[in-house]
Parts: sequence; C-alpha cells; structure tokens
Amino acid sequence: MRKNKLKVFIAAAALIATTANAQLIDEKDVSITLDLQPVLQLEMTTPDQIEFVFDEINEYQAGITKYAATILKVSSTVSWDLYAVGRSQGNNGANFWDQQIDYGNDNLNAIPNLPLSLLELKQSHANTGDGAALPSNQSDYSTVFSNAKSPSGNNSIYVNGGTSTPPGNTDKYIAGHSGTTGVTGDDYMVGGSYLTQTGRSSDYYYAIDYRILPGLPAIFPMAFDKDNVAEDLVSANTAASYAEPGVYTMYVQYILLEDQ
Amino acid sequence: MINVSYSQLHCDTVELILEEQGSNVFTFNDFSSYEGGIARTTVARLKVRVIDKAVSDGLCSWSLFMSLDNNGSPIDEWEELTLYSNGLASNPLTSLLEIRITNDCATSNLDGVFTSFTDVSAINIKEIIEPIILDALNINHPGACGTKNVNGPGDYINNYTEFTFKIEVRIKPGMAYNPGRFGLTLNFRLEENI
Repeated sequence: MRKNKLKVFIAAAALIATTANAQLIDEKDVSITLDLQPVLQLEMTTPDQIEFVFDEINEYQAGITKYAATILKVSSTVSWDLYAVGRSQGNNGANFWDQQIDYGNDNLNAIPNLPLSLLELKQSHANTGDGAALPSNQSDYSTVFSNAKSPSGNNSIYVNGGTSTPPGNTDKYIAGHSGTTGVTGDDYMVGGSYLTQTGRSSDYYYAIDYRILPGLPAIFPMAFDKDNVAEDLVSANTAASYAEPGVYTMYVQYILLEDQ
Repeated sequence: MINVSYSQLHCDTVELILEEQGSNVFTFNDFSSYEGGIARTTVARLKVRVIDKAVSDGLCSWSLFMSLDNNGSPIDEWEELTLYSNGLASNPLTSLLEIRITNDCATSNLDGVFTSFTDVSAINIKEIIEPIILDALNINHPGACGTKNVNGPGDYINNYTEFTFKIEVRIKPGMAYNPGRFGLTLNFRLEENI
C-alpha cells in the first residue's frame, strides 16, 4: 500500500514539474470588401424625330429608308440582351400608330389604325447571341429589307401591345435572346463595352436603318406581327382598305437588360 | 491537479501591430473602374516587434506569413455577401485580389511584386519573411538596409524601415462576374522560428 502511494506521488511530482515550450505567434487580419455594382449603359445617337414624308408616288411604292439613323452603343458589366419594341401612346390602340391629324374625307375604307409593325428595322450586323432562338420568322433584324414586291415580316419591329413583356424565343432581338442557358452564343451577350470591343462588327455597336413602305394602295405590306401573321391593312380589315392620309406618330424603345 | 507552465523558446515577445488606413471597400460602379481596376496604395501597415530574451540564446528570429480566408466559400471564390443580379455568372475569383507587400528596405522576397492567391488552400500561403532552418548563421539582423529576409530581433521603433510593411491592394474585376458584394480576409501571421 505504501509502495503504491509512493508511485502516485512520484508520478504527480513528475507532471507538476513538466514545462512546455510555446512558439510565440501573433496574427492580424485585414478584411477586403468588393462591391461590384451592375452597370448597364446604352448610349444612343439619333435625331429627336425621324420623319417619313410620303408625298411622291415612288415613295409610296418603294418606301423611304433612313440609313443608320440610330447608333446604339452598349457597355455592360453583366451578360445582357438588347431588343427594340414599337410603342405608341395608344390613341388608336396599343398596337397602332397614334393618329395626330387626318387628311381627306373620312372614307369608310380609309383606315386610321396603322399597325406599329409596319416599321422595319435593319441592324448593321447579325446577332451573335441567338443560337438557341426558335424564330417564327427571323431571330434578329440583320436580314436585308425585302423587295417591295415580296412582302415579308423579316424586319417588322417587335410589338407587345404596350406591355413590358420582352420578346420570347420566337421573336426578334438585336443582341442576345430569350433564355438563360448560360451557353455562349445561345441566348446572351457577354459583358463588355464598345470602348474596348471596337470594329465594324462589334457586338457592342449597332447602326439601325429604318424603312417604311406603304405600297400602292397604301396598305403597308411589310407589316407582320411577332408570330409572322400579316397585319397589312387588307389582311387586317377588308380588301378595299387603305391607310387614311394624315400625320401619325409612334416611337421605338430600345431596351438593354441583364440576360433573362 | 496538473499545472503545466509555458516558457518561451528563443524570443521573449513577438507582436504584430496592424494599422488600417481608410476604407477597405472597393466599389465598382462604372465602366472605367471595372476595366481599369482600383488600386489602393496603402490599405494597412504592419508593424513588427520581436524582443529577444533577457538571456539570449542567439536564436531568436521570426517569420511572417500571409494567407487568405473566404469563410468556407468555394476555395477559389470570394465569399458572397449578397448578389445584385440574377447570379447566372460566376462569383469573383480570389485571384482578382492582388497584394503587394513593401517596406523601405525591401527586406521581403515578395517586395514590390503584386501577388495573388489562386485559392485559399494552405498550399498558397505566402512567405513575406521566410522561415529558416534555425541556426545563428541563418539569422539576418536588422540595421544594414538592403539585407533580404531580415528576421533577427528588433522592432519598428528602432528599425522602422525593416520592421514596417506597407500593404497595397489592387483589384481589376473585368466584366465576367456576378454583381454583388463579396468579402475576403487577409491573414498575417508572425511566428517565432523554432
């Protein structure tokens, strides 16, 4: 018993006598915060008003084209899409030009409701971010304007009835397209800027041509809705229909938004 | 009851003093800053103080390390604090953060060079003042400005140019990442060489 007590005492004494050497260390931290605020900039160079005055027969037949009337320049820090939408104040309905004044005698066949889709756009170069689009006609506005004798909706502007609905995967975008697959070239444009991505075919720079072709009689044969259904005045009304002479206005809204 | 007492190995004191200089928030809100980046010439100053034991064994020396912490996020990404967008792109990578450590006598082998972390794993820990195989011959004492890897005892009061380190940070995000608020922590560790 005494032996055991002695062993315990020796063990305890050994433990108490133990000292450990500690490495000296000191630490400090610096926290860094990164605040990446999204930047979407659309710069537009265009006249305040683009006027199409039809006072010659050949202008009715061949239409009037305004080349590079609008220049669009994009800078974006996020993946983006760009589209155009035809709008009006809705005096004649959300899908029609606003009639400011009418000329003539109010013939019953003189139609004041001109579809917004009669305005044609042509962008300077093709959309490189529309690989996954399923267009009912074209997925962008890069097709050349159709001959006056071959009506088509290749370049008819997208119209959404005054809503905020962006074009779907069957509709037209200037750059990028509907969808968020994340696959390069399918439905978005990569963030960047016209300032560094220069050149004629830069994905961040577009020149937009406009054309209006009334035809003879003035039924606007190039008017097609987003589903590629003809909206010329005869198709939408009666065979005897024609555009009521007058002054009409509408506007084009260009929308740059994060890929959606 | 077991009492274990600790005693120093070779040095009496090692102390790291951090003085932060202004804001460490880097805000990118225009194209120029995204493309050109933002540099802060001094985000902080590190001051080192290493005191030898009263009865010196001639082996008191130190090393200084820098590492990165992202609070458990994927190892090559910044910690996401909040997103401003739909988050379809990737979060910024740790390699965006470029750090330069300098002092007036350029004692660090990293001095004057912007360095970055490909990820936050331990393998990427940077040695500002390198550890040594402990031998009196490997200890570089302060005083002769220009000597690399000064690691002998001293302090920022008597040898300011060798014991004070300036931390510079540069971030150039480009346009490939999710907008949002993100965080990273730089950790500085002063150790007695053993």
